[in-house]
Amino acid sequence: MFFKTYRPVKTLLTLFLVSSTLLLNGCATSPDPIDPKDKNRSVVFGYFDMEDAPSWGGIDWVSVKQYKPRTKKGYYGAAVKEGLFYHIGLPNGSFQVDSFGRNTRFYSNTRYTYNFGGKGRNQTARVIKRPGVYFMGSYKYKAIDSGSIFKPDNFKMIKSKKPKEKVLLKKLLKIMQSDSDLAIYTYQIHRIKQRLKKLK
Amino acid sequence: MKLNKYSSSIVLPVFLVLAVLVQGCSVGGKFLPELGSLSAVKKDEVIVVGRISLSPKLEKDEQELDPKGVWDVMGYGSKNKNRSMITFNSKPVADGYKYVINPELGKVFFFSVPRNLKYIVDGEILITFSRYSSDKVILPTGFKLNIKPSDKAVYIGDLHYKRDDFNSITQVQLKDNYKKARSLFRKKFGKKYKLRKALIKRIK
Repeated sequence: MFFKTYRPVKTLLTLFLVSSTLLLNGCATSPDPIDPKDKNRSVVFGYFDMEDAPSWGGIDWVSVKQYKPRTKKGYYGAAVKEGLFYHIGLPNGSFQVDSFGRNTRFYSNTRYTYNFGGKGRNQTARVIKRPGVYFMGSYKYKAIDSGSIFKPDNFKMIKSKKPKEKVLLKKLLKIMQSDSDLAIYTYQIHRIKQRLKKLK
Repeated sequence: MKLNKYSSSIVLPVFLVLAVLVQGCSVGGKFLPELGSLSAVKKDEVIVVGRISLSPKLEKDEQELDPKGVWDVMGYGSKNKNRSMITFNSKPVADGYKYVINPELGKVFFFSVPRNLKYIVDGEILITFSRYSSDKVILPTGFKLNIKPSDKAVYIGDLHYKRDDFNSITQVQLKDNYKKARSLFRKKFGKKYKLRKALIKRIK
């Protein structure tokens, strides 16, 4: 009975359509919109070099946690481009990177999550007292061998001097100016330009 | 033959899962309950009295100890509600088999602890936990208790931890509130045992 009705092409097509719909749905789930007229939002950015990490292909997401003031939302998803992560709409408060990771790829169905926070302050911690541009730093992934097959290996994010804040900020400015969705955030762009002037 | 009969049923898999779970919970240390009466104190134990406090205090609902998708069989969440987890050991390092107490924050505690456990090797306050990770305030420890063979009860001091916005401890203070502790000790247990002041010391 089963073999009579089983059509592999039709089944594959259905599977493809269902998975594509699910994937697109995932992409459509956008974060809270940021009002371009809101002057009280800050730009926060940093860089993760994941060349030596087990997850080939860099990272896709960075989660920034808000510690103070405590809110229901609690976490902000930063955008990522070639290791540069950024968020252009953080309110005043205390923030640090909580975790980051890589989604599945066509060559790998493994999701990678790297926990960075959870045990107090880490190096990305920033207290935003007034709207501005805040650099969380550049970091390079370093694996730590646990030395035992019974314990999982660990990792450290080592603070790195490169890429420098100025280089990353220039890149971010370019991204914002060339993307019509981001180019409307004129306050943020203005602040980035001001910060770049100071870095010269 | 009997084994085959049971192994084909659900009993063996359930038993194995429970055995693994219980094993997982027992590895690393034993949880010591708060002392209710002097009759619960064993011969080889001493009553440890003190206080752990955190500043700023935990906000209402700051701890999220009832995560979705986690079957909290051992009551891990409730054991951490407004409480710290303080680990005692017989050696000054946090390895091997340890003993854990969970004093309520800001309140004078009374726990009966095996007297050979002369070191406080670990401390934490659980903020959130899930299947994958947890958020904790790590309390700096590394203290030695001063227990004499004749001691029945010792006051180890008030440990006051200050934290920053990111739940990192920025300051640790040891305060001597012996009189208050003694008064509460006598109120709870009477005058049968003497509470000796024996403030903890940092391990060098």
